[in-house]
Amino acid sequence: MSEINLLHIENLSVSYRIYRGLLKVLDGVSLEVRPGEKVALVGETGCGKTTTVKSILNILPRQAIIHRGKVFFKGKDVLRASDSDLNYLRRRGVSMIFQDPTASLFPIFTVGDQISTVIRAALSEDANNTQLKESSLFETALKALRAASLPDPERILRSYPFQLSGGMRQRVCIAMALATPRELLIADEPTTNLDVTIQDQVLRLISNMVAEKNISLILITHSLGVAREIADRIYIMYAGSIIEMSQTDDLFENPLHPYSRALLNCVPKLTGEGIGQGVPGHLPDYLNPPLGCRFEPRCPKSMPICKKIKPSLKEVAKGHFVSCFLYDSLGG
Amino acid sequence: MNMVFFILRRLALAILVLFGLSILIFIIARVIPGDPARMALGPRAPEYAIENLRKQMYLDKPIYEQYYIWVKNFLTKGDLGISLLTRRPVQEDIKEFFPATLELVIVSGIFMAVTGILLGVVSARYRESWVDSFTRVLAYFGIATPSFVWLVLFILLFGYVWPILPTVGRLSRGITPPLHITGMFTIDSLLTGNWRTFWDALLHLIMPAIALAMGGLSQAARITRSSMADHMDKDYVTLLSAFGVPNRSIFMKYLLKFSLIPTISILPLDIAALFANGFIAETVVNYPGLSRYGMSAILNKDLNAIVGVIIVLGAIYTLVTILIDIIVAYLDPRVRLIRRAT
Repeated sequence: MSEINLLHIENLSVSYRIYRGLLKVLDGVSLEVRPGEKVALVGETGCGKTTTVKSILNILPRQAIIHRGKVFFKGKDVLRASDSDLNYLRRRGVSMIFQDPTASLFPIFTVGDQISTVIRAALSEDANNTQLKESSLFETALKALRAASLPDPERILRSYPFQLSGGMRQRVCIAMALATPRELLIADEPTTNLDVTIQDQVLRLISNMVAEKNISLILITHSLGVAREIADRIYIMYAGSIIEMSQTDDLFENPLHPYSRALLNCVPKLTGEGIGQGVPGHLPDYLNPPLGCRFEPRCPKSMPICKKIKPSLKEVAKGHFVSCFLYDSLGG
Repeated sequence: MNMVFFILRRLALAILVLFGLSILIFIIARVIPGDPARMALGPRAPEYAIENLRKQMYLDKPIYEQYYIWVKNFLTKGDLGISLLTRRPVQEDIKEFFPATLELVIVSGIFMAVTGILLGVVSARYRESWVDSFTRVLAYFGIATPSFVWLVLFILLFGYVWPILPTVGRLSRGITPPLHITGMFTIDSLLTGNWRTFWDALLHLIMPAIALAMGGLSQAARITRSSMADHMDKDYVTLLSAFGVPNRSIFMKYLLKFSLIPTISILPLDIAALFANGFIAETVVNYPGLSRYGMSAILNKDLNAIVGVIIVLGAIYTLVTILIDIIVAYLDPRVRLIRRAT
């Protein structure tokens, strides 16, 4: 593990216990984020992106079982952290914007109530701020809402979530996440549940605020277009594994994994080639995932070895990692 | 302002409901077969005595005229007519029996609410632990077993096997009832500072109150548990813990209030139902309450008593429903602020 990493996930495997057995979702995910870096995690719905980032805050649902792997934030193992380390992580280190803004706020409490609870928790971690005043809480909350370009923040503090539109709710969540200093922001498909017209505004807001505060970002998205606009580096995830990782430009110029290529084909182009082909097939059954490469059943370039052995993530060019036997001496 | 209007409207509606209820029960009580005068006087009473009683009760007049007389007497004099069984005005009977049941229902209701909610909260907090399983089994028994079965069981256990509680009536022999203020012995004895009577009256309430509470508390425990367990998995809870808000604060401040809304919309109705449902329990311990009085009125076709008791129960029910709506509107801003199309 290099010293400069802010976040380092190492070989993480997570399953969910359900009635019919174990859903083996994450299968050895590794991921790093350096200070100030913007990283995108791209993959289709259900591939384990949210599970990956929830492990960073140690907020996996109780059905989750962590088989193996470690999550280091500033060198401390999150999954085995003491209460005080965990509190530091959640109050000062990392904050997260959830996918569905209509579900991420308590319906029967005002926005002001919830945002000040979050700020109070964050400030309680600050040794210099032992005496919290309600007025300073209120001021911090107002400032945060204003920074998230919410009009009439006083009124919003008094409002209940159902009185706000989806876009405003997501701005409130952004305000919550960035009201107090952070080192890493996780945005879990922050625009998926919003109207198309405001998706762009919200994305821009997040990217501007992250740039302004010079903090790191993990953006989860299923759109390569969005990832290209925002991220320095892109991780492509398929069925619980990272299958390719490289600098953004590199990935778009030279995608290696068959899945990445197929994904890139799905991005509509302005050159008039029409919309892409899509990727035939669907995610594997997590109860009985394929033994070898999990993409093999959908892969146009499948080879006999792919059914038996899972390829590992290997550096094939400088800073460009892929997990596929096509680029492996073993596979020829 | 909005709330005042809401309450006034609900009260007006409640009066309409009670009016309808009185018509309905008035007719039903009269059309079911059986001659109330004959039942009151016995099989050997001479025909002319029966005729006299029928006249006295206006049973010889058409039913709408009977109803008109009843409403007029009730609205002008608060008179509900004479009970055929006790030969006293029904309102006097109700005044005597109602406080006894009220007292029982209050104790039972407090026990039901506190125990039910506590069990629900604890089993949601420690879900899938032995506490949860224990509560689940207890709740199944509580819902499936009628209250009088519990009562008989309690009497056997705490009245005979291990005699620590009185099994009959409202007071022990040799203890004089307190001065009549509210009619509730526990409260009256407290008001007059008579601790011995208070303690004795309270002991008499314990077994029937707990037995009556078993069904409702089981239901409350299950509802609270499932509502809370539901919310615990939601994003708004995960979000707060993701921001390092202490679990205790999430639980006590946010989860508890939100999770109790379904319980609060049902629990008071369960409690109100005890006014009517306790008749077997009241009979078992020979407790002179309204429930038992109402049941004997029905069995003896005591027309005025039936109508009187039903009106009182109806009024309690409608008032409790309004009360629930007010509490829920207070707890849940969505009820208060979203204008529903009516």
